[in-house]
Amino acid sequence: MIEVMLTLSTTIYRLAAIKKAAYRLGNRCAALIELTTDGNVALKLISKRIGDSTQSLEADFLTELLDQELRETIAEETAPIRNLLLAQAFSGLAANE
Amino acid sequence: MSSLPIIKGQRFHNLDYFRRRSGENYRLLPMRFIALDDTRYVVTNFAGELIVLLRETMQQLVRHELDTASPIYEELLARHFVLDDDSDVALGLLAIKYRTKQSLLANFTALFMFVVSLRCDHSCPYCQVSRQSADRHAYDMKPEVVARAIDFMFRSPSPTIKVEFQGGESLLNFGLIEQIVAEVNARNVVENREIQFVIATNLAPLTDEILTFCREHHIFLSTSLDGPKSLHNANRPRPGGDSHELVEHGIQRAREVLGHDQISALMTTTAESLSQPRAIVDEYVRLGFTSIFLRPLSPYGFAVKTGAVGRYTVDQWLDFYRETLGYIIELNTQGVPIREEYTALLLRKMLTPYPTGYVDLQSPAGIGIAGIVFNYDGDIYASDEARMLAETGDRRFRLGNLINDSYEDVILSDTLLDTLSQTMTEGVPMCVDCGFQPYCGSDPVYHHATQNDAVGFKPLSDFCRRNMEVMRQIIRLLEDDPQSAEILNTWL
Amino acid sequence: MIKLHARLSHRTDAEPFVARIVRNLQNTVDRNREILLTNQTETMVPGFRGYLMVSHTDDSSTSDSPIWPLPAELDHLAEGDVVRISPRSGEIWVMYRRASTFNSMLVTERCNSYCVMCSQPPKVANDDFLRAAYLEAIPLMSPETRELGITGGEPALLGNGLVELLNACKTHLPQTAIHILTNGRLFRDIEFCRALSSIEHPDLMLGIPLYSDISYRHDHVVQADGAFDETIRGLLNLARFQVPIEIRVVLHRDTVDRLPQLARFITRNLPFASHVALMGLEMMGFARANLPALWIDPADYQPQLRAAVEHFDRHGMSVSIYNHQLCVLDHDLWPFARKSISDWKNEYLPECDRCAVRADCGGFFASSSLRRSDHIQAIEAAASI
Repeated sequence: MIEVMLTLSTTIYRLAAIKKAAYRLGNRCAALIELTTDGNVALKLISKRIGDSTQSLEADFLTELLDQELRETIAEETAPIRNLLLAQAFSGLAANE
Repeated sequence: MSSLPIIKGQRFHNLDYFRRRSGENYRLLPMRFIALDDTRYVVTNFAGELIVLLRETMQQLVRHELDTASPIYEELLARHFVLDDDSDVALGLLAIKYRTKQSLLANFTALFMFVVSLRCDHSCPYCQVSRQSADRHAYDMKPEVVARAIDFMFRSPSPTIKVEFQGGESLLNFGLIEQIVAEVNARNVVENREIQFVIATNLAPLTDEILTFCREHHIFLSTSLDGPKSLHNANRPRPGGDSHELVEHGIQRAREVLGHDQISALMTTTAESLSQPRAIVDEYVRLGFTSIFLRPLSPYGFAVKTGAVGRYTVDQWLDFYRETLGYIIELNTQGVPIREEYTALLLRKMLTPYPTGYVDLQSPAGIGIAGIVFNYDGDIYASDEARMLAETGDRRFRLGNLINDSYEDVILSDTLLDTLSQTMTEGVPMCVDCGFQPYCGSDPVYHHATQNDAVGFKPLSDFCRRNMEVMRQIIRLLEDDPQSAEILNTWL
Repeated sequence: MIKLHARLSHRTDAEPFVARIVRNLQNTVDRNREILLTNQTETMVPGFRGYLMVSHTDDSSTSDSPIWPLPAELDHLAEGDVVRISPRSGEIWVMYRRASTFNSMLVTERCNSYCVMCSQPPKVANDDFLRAAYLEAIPLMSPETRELGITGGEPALLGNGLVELLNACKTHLPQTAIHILTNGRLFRDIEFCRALSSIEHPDLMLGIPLYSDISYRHDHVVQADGAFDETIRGLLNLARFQVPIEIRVVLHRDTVDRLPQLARFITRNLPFASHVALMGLEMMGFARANLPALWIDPADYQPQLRAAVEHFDRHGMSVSIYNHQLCVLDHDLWPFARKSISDWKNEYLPECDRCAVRADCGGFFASSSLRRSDHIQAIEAAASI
């Protein structure tokens, strides 16, 4: 069984991003997420795919992780304007009554 | 601009002057993204506008390091992905556009399917309904059910209503169809909605009397055409093995009496279909159709029982789709007017500001909201798929019964409302931040049927994979293939 | 070019007045608001507000009587036309020509924009007399007039005065379509929109220019900070009241590059627009002064024009090309070209006499002699619309 072990710093990667990346790859691998004593994340990925390689699994996971980080950044920055947008779209003040 | 004239004391300012407040501090507007391929992302906003960006560009954008003098910056401004100090109408425009995309919701249910009979003379292995053979009348819709169904239907606020007759083979109970049409029209004198009637039929029982009736009441016909004769008849057996001949003859007659565009066809992809993409399209062209709908097998009803479903993978279907679409586009460049309907629907979602009513690609899900099914026995189902599921014993999406339950009981039921709210793509994992979210939908019945979970674990969902790859293909063509893009733009 | 202004032979001390031209005595309705166009002094019928003499030779008119020789350049004047005579300054202005399909009411020369290509450069002086004159003229116009324009400057600067004029049109010319050319900026005030829409004019359209999908690019063309935002707000407000809107784009060097993107912006954000007009440059006013910066040969922007037109067409939005000669347009764009130049400033070249499609071509602005495409040429008979 192909396994990948990663230690990820929580000052660089948000926990939510790690979880979401693991979720997205859920057809490919199972994930065990734990916090280490120094506050980092210890991640174990166990491949479900026959003939998978550790390099491929690790590379795909890290790519996905960066995408999720990007999403978290966007979500944080745009949360207030998103709420404004929804309020304006569905309130009585919207121009297209 | 060359040196500026001064006219009567007024100087003309150059572009840089008007640009002075722009760019410096741009802000991101809400957006979602997903990989298009190894080097690019598809990025979308709440209004469903899209832009394809290189990965590096996306990263620069989010780090606020994008060169604001670049052409891509202006594209992002114009399409409402970023905002800067020069203008503040972006939010207002986005709000209106988002509202417009959601606006069909207020009309509520616009499609009502009446299952007028389960009798059928065909025995297609992929059939989504459990059909009874043609001589069992117990499975016909009873008159009291009809009356209640029409009452229920007119409770919907939608100004346009489509009444679709389904089965089995709906024409085997043509008398009931006549009654329903008459009663709906009578009621509509007061209701004043725009009503459209459609009969889904294999055309085998078509008679001149039926065609005359359809002409008088402007009824559309929708039939199944799986491809050239050998493929069609192999997919759709009936005693005599002549389904294709009957379809071809029926189409011709229907066109003569009703008009060329009053009959449409759709196909179902079986394992046998996969190797014949061009032959299938050629058959549609030969029979004068300008529209084809490429449909994969649905994992319900007899399709499961006979093992028809599962005989090919989603990736095999995607290969089929890509090749067929490519062939259809090629025919277009040669002046043959034929378009693929699912693709056209997605193009409208991507490239126009308007909403679409297609039941399977809605969030909140189209079940109950976009369409409702009245079964022959008065049972009310959230969708045709929900009915199919019930026929195999799973009544999870049965909303009630016309005789026993009121409109409010049904529409406000937990079955419906909980399912709708819990499965909305705006709120479930993966979908919530997927770049394709504005174009996709939640399909709770599909996910329940395949994963026993209405939300569905999307990494394992063929519904998700299929839609993602179809959308990637469309966007790749729009972005990288100018000749195909030109053709696709005529399908709006 | 047809002249609409002329000097009278003499001045008298009297107030300006607006009157309809009458030729045939059987057609008089209210002589106090009519001027008789006649060529016989001896059978002059009394009671008219004024008299214009065709081929007048007798100079014996007293300086106090409202009788003037018809100025030579106004020999086109005909029954049903409406003129304003200013006796003190000795001027006659043809406000309306019944036979023309291009009548337009210039209601002010003031403007709140300063477009780099403005063919009617703004003036700052108070010109309220124009509004007052048109209010007098409207009841005198023929109710069979198909279409009437309201233009300027910026007509919305009249505020309630514009509402008054539109009401007068509805009352006196109920069958006449009204087309207002406005930059739309003042319609950011929703109450102004409401006032205009509450007239419930049966056939109204507002023609509003939008020059770019990018705010500062539009602002640059109209030379006003914030104009884009105001125009968009105006458009949205008008749409809210379902006032029919046409979007206009003048094509020059600052607007053609992003024309396809503008098309996309319009179909996506302003889908309620009934029509889009893509217009060739009129080389008057500021356009003339800024010509070196603005001029681009139409033959050189055919790709962008084509992409934009195709986009509108595919999205079901009606689009027309104005002020372009057929010989400079891609053949595929001919179905969208219209004969749009007002008759009084419309011309053709000698070259055009040999052209097989002259009858379908809009020709040139009188002012175009300043600069024309290098690709003007007669089309051989084989080509067709």
